[in-house]
Order: sequence, then structure tokens, then C-alpha cells
Amino acid sequence: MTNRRQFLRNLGVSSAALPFLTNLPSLGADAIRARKQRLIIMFTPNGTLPDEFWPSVDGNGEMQFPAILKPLEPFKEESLLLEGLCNMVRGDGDGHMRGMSCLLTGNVLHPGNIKGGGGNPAGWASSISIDQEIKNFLQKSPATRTRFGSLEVGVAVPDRADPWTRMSYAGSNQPVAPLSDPYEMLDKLYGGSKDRETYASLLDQVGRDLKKVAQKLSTEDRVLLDQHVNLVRELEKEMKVTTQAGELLHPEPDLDPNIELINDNTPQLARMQMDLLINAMANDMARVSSIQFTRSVSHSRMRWLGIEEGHHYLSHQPDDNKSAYNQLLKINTWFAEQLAYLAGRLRDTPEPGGDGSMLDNTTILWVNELGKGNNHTLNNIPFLAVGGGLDYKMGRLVKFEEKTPHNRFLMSLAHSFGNHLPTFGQEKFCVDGPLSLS
Amino acid sequence: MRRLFVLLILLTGLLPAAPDGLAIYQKHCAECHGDNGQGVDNEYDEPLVGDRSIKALARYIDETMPEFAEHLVVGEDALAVSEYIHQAFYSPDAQERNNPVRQTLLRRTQQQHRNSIADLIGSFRDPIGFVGEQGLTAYTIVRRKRSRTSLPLRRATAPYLDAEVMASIEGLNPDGFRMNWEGSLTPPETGTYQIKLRTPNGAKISINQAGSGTPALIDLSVSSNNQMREETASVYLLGNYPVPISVSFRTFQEQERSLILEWKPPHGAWEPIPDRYFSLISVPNVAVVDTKFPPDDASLGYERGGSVSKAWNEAIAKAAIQSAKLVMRDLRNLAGIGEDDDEPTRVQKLREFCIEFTSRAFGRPLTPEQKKLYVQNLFTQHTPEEAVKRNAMLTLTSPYFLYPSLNQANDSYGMASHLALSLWDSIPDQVLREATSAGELQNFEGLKKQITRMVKDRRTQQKVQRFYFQWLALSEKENLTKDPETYPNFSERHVADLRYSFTTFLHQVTWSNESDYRLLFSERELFLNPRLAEFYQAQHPGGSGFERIPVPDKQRSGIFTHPYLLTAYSYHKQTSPIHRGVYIGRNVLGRYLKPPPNAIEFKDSDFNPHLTMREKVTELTKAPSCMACHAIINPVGFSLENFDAVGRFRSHEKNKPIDVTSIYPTEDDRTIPINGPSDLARIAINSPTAHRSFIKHLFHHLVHQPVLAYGSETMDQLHSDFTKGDFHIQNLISQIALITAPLPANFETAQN
Repeated sequence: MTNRRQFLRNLGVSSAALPFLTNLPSLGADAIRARKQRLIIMFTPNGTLPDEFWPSVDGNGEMQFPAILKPLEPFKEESLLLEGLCNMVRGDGDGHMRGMSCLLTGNVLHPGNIKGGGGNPAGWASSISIDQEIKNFLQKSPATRTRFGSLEVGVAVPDRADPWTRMSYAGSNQPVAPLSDPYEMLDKLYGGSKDRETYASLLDQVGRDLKKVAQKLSTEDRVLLDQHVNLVRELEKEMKVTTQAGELLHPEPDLDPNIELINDNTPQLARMQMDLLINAMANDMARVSSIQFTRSVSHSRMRWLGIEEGHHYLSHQPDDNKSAYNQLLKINTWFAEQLAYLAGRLRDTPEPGGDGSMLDNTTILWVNELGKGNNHTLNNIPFLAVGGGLDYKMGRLVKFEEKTPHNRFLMSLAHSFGNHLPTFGQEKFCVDGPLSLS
Repeated sequence: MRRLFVLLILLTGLLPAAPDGLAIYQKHCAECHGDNGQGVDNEYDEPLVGDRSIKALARYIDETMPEFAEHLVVGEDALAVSEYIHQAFYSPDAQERNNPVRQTLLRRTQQQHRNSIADLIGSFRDPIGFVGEQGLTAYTIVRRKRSRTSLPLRRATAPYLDAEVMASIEGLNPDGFRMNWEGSLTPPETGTYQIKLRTPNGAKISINQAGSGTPALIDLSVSSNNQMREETASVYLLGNYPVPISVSFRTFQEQERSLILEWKPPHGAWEPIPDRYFSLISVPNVAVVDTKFPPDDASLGYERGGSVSKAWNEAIAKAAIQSAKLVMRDLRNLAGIGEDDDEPTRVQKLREFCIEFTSRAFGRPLTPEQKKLYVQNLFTQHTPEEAVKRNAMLTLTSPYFLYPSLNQANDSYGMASHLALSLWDSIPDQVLREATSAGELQNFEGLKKQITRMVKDRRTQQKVQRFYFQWLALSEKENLTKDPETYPNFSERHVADLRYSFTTFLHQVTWSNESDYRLLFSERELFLNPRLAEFYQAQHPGGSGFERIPVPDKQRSGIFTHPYLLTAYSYHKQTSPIHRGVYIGRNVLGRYLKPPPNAIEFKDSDFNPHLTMREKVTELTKAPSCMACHAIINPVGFSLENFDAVGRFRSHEKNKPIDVTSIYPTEDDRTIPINGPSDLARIAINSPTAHRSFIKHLFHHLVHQPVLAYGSETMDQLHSDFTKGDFHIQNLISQIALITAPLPANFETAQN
């Protein structure tokens, strides 16, 4: 199987010509689509520290990663930074709300009963989000259809449903809740097959106990237990057969059964969720997914980083509050480490049934509801992509002219999957078409 | 005994002049009925058993037997053959002698399985206290500048909001407020409850999810354009096991503001959840296993765990896996692990938890071998958490748990397990466990104290409520709605209300101080709400709830004339004297009624439309072979003809006055004139056969074993004590639990 880059190389076309080529849908479309393209959207909240996030470019055109991006140094060549994209959607809801619920929808919120720190009260998003749009597109064709289509994973997302806490929407007024409990996730992905396997392994003992107690019984009563023993043997056999038949390319991961869903366990929970997600995608259960760390306006106290203050409180401190600044640096660097972990797992996993690694065919997109925490701006949102899923030209920083609506970027995500949407979200932000990033 | 009996027959045969019953039987009867009355395929395949007296049986033979040659066995010959078969195999005594019954090995029924798991896991949490005052605690959260204040609003209120309610709340700013309701919900029976939330604002509801971190049952917390939305979800709950409930509401700058919470309980209709099911107390979550089980064997007329099947075994597996999950989800709390516990302490606590979990499930301390197999080996081979999970699965699949009698002996533990199973369908609670280990069940006084306490428990009440439905053959009656053209104003809501009226009546009689069986038939009051009062033309004193009010029609008394029973025992468009007669005759009056020799279906279209129901049934059952049983069935059914298919009083049918008079033949060959329902009630009150039927059904429901398995004198003793003790139902329950208990070997019977 040939991947797109090799295909183009064989044609003798340099990647510089790519923007031109993508506009020719007839060209080798089948060969291009034959590979499994994947998208993972990773959300972290409360804006970034722009000076510690946006790279500088040296004289050789080489990006220099500042502090927050240091963990991503090994993936620099596979990274693409998009500076200057703005969430231009206005209307009801405060900045965090619109930052979150318009981030992937690019459309206004319905009027509702949720009153935030400013603006009018608001409700849910009024249209589908881009991840769900792409999922629906892929599910339409047998060649790209998968069991779940998409997976929405949460890490320490609080148990509440409001526009601050949902970014994925199946349609107007239809928020998709991320699943934050890894044990539930395991159950969803593997239908409790682990539990059945465990249970099957205990049945031998049950059979022995039944035989033992049966000996002491009258002949009449023993009939019942003999039937029971046979049923237990039968079930044991069936459960073992199912387990073997269900052999997966990537076996179901073992989860530490002792991690409580509490804030202080966030690092372990994040690791478990990421492992489950990579595993599920390696088994081709979904091609689109999102992993949401907490929620917008997250108050989490990252004690595992030695931070006692809540994240949102810190993000509101002025830039000259050195202590807050340093703590925000730690927080955002930790998030970058999580992204690096995801990217690393993908790079270390060979592409199932294909060439190269999963990272060659997967793009992880890091998103945030704000550009910067202490001024609540929805401008210059830190968008960062890692990996080769979308055939963007990587290893660079792209600076857009001011006020480039992020709707155009959302459109380009869909276009990369062959879903040539004429607009997405609010039409007025789509007039210039999708961004060309290839 | 048997030899003596044979000798007696031989002797009788040698006496001159008297006709030889055995010889006559062999000559004229055995061909169709078999040598020992067991029946003959393609002839008469039912066994020849029943409850007629010798004389009544003789008369029946005289008139109807042998079929098509009735003149062959008459007079003294009929009497002789009646005497013979009565003693040889026909009478209940003969059946008992010929087919000795014993206690059989039983597994837990699905009810017992669910309750036991809920109580087993619940036993590591705080016990549920007295379910006190009705309603939920409601409070509002008011925004004052940047701070929020929680105002306890008022107690005893259901989650409902409209303009009137909001106007009545002091200090409420209708433009923007939040409101929460907290407390518990006590489900009236086990099954799936559908819950519906309706609001144009934000609201959500959680049931049995306190602190579990699981998503709310229904989450509509974000409104959309202030439009009315509704969402429905379902949740499986156990009867009389209160669960935590919380409802929250919020609105901000919205025109329309309202909240409605409704449910559809099992056998019920959609309605706002009535206040009576809410309670102010807070309770811990209940470990509910909602795995679907196959129905339990009811071939003997009562549910029991007498058989196993593939579907059952798979349900056991699913329930064990689900239970292990429920344990793991709350393990720190259940095992009492503290924040500061170091690793060895934590592991030790987990190990102790497993030992305790398994021994509570098995109903006695573990043997060293059990401890090794069920706990120690698991901790050696796996991580501590994995060991706990496996321990839970293994314990709940073990024969010692599934078959409660397997691990028992005649000692205090066996006694405690027996009491919990027969009274609660569950396992011993903390109080009973403590009494057991303190040796308090070793003497009569201590035992009586426990039984008295246990009989009044909510779980006994639940089990007894199910008994009434089984005794009256109502368990399988599902859809009781009637033809809307014939009964235009009788809706699903009426049926649900009637069911509540009926169960409340039974509850009040049973759990009052008198607890008098006779009141079940003689009480002249009904529980009616305004809807039912209007339909049955009774005077409701006002208010919206159920009130105990005098029966609207002078003829009514007790259960026979309760509209729920009358409705259940009716056809879709008309009454059914046959159903009423069969169910009441067989189940309540205790008469032995065979299935009809030829299954004849009642088809209304076969009859002249001008005939009354009584005339049709009389016509349909006039053949002597029918009248063998219909002589009993019809008088019972006809006596209730004054009540139509929805239990309303009527004096006429087809423009003819209704005739409720008839003659009821007793099993001891007397006749009782019947002139309406009160005469029928009098039979149930006075007839020993009826008393024994009640005792037998209650016994089977509690113990799941035949009464005879406890000796032939058991029924006599229960009956004699019941009649002497003013027919006290609660005492009868206690006595059944006691009489069937495995008395510890060294039991002190001094007081008895």
C-alpha cells in the first residue's frame, strides 16, 4: 500500500505543489483515500501563555520551541503551528462558553438559562461540531466506516453538563458528553470481555465446589446440582471460545483497577484514557476522536505539579504576577507532555496493515477555548497540529493575517478527509474558503 | 401403615353382603382411571384426586359414572366404590400417604438474589433508618452579587414548579434562581421505573447515584430558547428499598418557568410522583442488580428456585460481574479504607473485607478451607484489587450462596439465614448477625424478639404484598384496561389508582394491630382518591390524595367487592362469573377445582344477545360433567354479578334485575344459601377450608416448600393457632417462620 506522500513522491511532485494538487479531486483520489486517516482533537483550558507557546523562527527558517513546547521537541518536524486564528462567533454566552461551545462548531449558541461571567445567558450550540461532521462523512462510506466512528474521551471532566463543558455536538442542542471514567471506557470498547474472561477463570473452582457439596446430598437433590455443574462447564467453554475468537490486533489493555476518579489521580487517569484511545484507534474502532482535559474555566488544582491554586484563578492573574506565571507555565507544559505522550504512542505503533507508524496517518490537534487567560480573548487561539493524518505541510509555523476566522480552519479539516464542505458554522466566516495548509 | 391399610381392605372384602368397592372399581372404573386412580392416556388422564366427602363423591358417581353407562354403578355400589377410592388415593390424606413430600433443595429465586446482593453490599454501608416524614427537602440558591446563599426553603414538597408555587416562595427572584430537592424515594415494588422530566428551563435528576460520579439519569440542565422539552429514562429499583434522589432546577431571564417530574412505575400509569413515595431522610445508594433473570419455576402454584437453566446460569454470571463492579466502584468506602492508611493496612483491610463479604453471603463464618479458596488464594495470585473483584464474583457464584440451605446446619446461623430468607427474601442484617453471634437465638425469648422485629420490617411488608397478589392470582394480570366504548371513562389511570387502593387496603389490614384475616372480607371501607370517588360515586372528603372512606354501595365489603379484584376477574367488555368463581373458589375458599375436562371457551357471540351473563354461563355449564366443579364455581361468580367489569354497582343487566341468589355446596356436603357478596364473605370468614387455603398460600410464599414437608400435623397446628388467636396475620407469619426454622440442637425451649 502506498501512502499519499510516497504516491506524490513517485509522481515527482514536490510538496510545495500540494496546495495546487489538492484542488484536483480526480487525481489519484482512491489511492489517497485508501489509507486510514485519523484525527484526534485534544482540548486543554483557560488559554495559554503566548510568549511561552508561539515559536520563533531562526535565520535558517528553523522553529525554536519555547518553554511550553519543549516536550514536543522530538516531534518538531511533524508539528504545524497556526498563529492568528480567531473564534469570531459572537452572540449569547460569556467568553469561556463561546470559546468552548463554538470552538468546533463555529456557530452561535442558542439562548438559554446558563449565565456566565458576562454577556447574555446562553444554551447549547446551534449546529454540529467538525469532529462529528467528519465522523458522519466517514461513516457514510463502507471503506471508512468504523464501529464507533468517533470516540469522545474525557480526563477529569467534572460531572456537569453546560456549554462550558461540551465542545462536541452531534447537531443543534445535541451535546456529546465525553466519557471520563476509564473503566466505563474499557467497557464501552471491549464490552466487559475482560470481566467475562476473569469470570470464566473462576468457573473451574465453582464446578469443584458444586461437585463437593453434591456428594452430601440425596439422589433427588443431586440431580439439580448435576444440571448446574453441566451448565457451569458449558458456560466456561463458551466464555473461553468468545475470548479467543475476539483476538484483537492490539490486545485490550490492562487497567490498574485501583484508580479513583479524583482530581489527584488525573495523571494516571489521563494515561489510562490515552492508552485506551490509542488502542481503540489501532484496532480501527474509530478514526475521529477527542480527548478533553477538564473543561473551559477549569478550576482544577494540579497538586501533582505542586500547584495548590485553581487553574482558572491563576489564568486570571496579570502577566507580572511571576508566581502565577510560573505555575501556568508548569500547567501548560504538563499539557504539552500529554500531547507528546500521545504522539509518542502513535509513532511507536506501526500502522496496522500499512506502512510507517500510526503517527504518519494521524493528526493530533491541540486546541484551547481562549487565546490568553487574563484577557479572555478568543483571538490567537493556540492551534497546534502534530502528525501526518491530514497531509498538511508540517514542521512550520504559519502566521495568518489578523482576524482570520477559525471557521476556515474547521473547513480545511473536513476537506482533508475529502469532505468538501462549502461552508461550516456561520457562513459569513467562510467566504474565503478553507485554509490551504498542505 | 400401608400394610395395615391393605389388610383393612382385604378384611372389608371378606365381609359378606357389603358390596366390594375395590372389585367394583376394578371392574367399572380402572379402565379409564387406572388401577390406582393415576389416569389413563387417551381415556381420562387426570389423576383421580379431590376434596369431596365420601357421600358427595358417591352421589357424583351414582349420577355420572361410568360415563355413558351411568346405571351400572349406583346406590350402595356407588357408596362402596366411593369409600374405596376415597381411602385408597382420592382424599388429601390418601395423597399425602401415597406421595410423601419432602423439603427439596432450592436455589435463591431472582427476588432473593437481587435483595440478597443489595443487602450484602449495603451491609457495609450505614443502615437505612426509619423512613420518616414525606416529601423532599427543597432549597433555593439565590445569587446575591457575587456570593451564593443557600436558603432552606421548606420541607415536605415534591419536585414541582409552576407560577403559583414560585409566588409562594418567599425571597425568590423569579428572574433567576436555582432550586434543589434532596431526599429519598421508596419504590413500591421491584421493577423498571420510567422517569420523565419536563421543563422549558434547566433541570436534572439523579436516582440511586449519590456521589457515584455517574451521569445524571436525565440531564436537561441547559435550556434552549425557553422551549418546553421532555426526556424519559428508566431505572431498575427494588421494592421498599429507599434510594437517594436529587432534582435540580435553574432558570435565568426566561419567560416560561415550570418543572414537572413524572413516573410510570411497574403496573402503573404516567403520573406526577406522589408525595407519599418521597422521604426527607437521606439514604446511601442501593446496589441494584438489573440483570434480566428468567422467571422462576411456578409450576406448583408459587415461585421457587426448584430448577436451573442456561438462561439462569448466564444471569447469575452477569449479576456476579455487575455486583463486582458495584463493589469496586465504592471499595474504599465499603472496606473502610482511610486516606492515611499505608499499603499493608490497606491490603489487610481489603482481605478482611473479602472474608466478611463471603461469610455474610454464606450466612456463617467461613471454614479454614473456604477462607483459603475464596480469599487467601486470590490475594496470593493477584493484586489486592483484582483479588477483591474475583472474591465478589466467586462468592456470588458459589453454591453456598446460590443454594442457601447447602451451607447451613441446625444452629443459630442456620436459624438466622432461614429467618432472613423466609421473611425478607434476603440475608441477615446487622442486628440479626449480632444476635446470632451473641447466642441470642439459642432460646425462645431471644428468637421471638428477633422474629417480632423482623416481621415488621419493610422487606417483610414487601414480601407479604407480593403474597397477596400470588394468593389472589393477580401476579400475571397485566393489562386491566377495558373496552373504551363500553367503559368510556375508565382509563389506565383508574387501573393504577385501583391497584394502589387495593394494596393499601391489604397493607392496612395486615399491618394494623388487629391484623385480622376476617377484616380482609368484612371491612366496609375503601381507599379512594377524587378520581376513583367520582367514578364509583363515593363521597371524597376533599384534597387530592387517597382517603379511607365508607364503601359507596351497601353491598360491598372487603376484597371480593374491591373494584380492582372485580376488574381483574372480568372480560374486556363484560363480567366473568367463571373467572371470579374459579379464582375465589380455588384460591380463597380453598376448593379443589379440576381443569375443565374439555377446554370450552366462553364465546359471547354463541349466545342469544338478550341473555344475561348468568343465563349464558348457566347454559354453557349445564352438563353434569361440567357441574362437578361449576356447582361450586357458579354460585361464587353469580353472587358478584351486581358488579360490572370495572367493579361498578349495577342492579340490572339487559333490562333484567340481577339475580345473585344461589346454593353453595361445601366440601363436607352441606349447602349454604348465598344471597350476595356478604354471604360469600361469610364463607371465607367461617370456612376452615378457606382458612387452610390462606395459611397454605402464605406458607408456600414464605418458605417455598410444601407444608406437608414439615409433617402432617403442621397445618393442623397452624390452623388451630390461627383460629384461636383471632386470625392474626402477623402472628401467622411469625409462626410459619418459627415452625419451619431449623432449631439449634441445644435450643432452650423452656418458654415454649
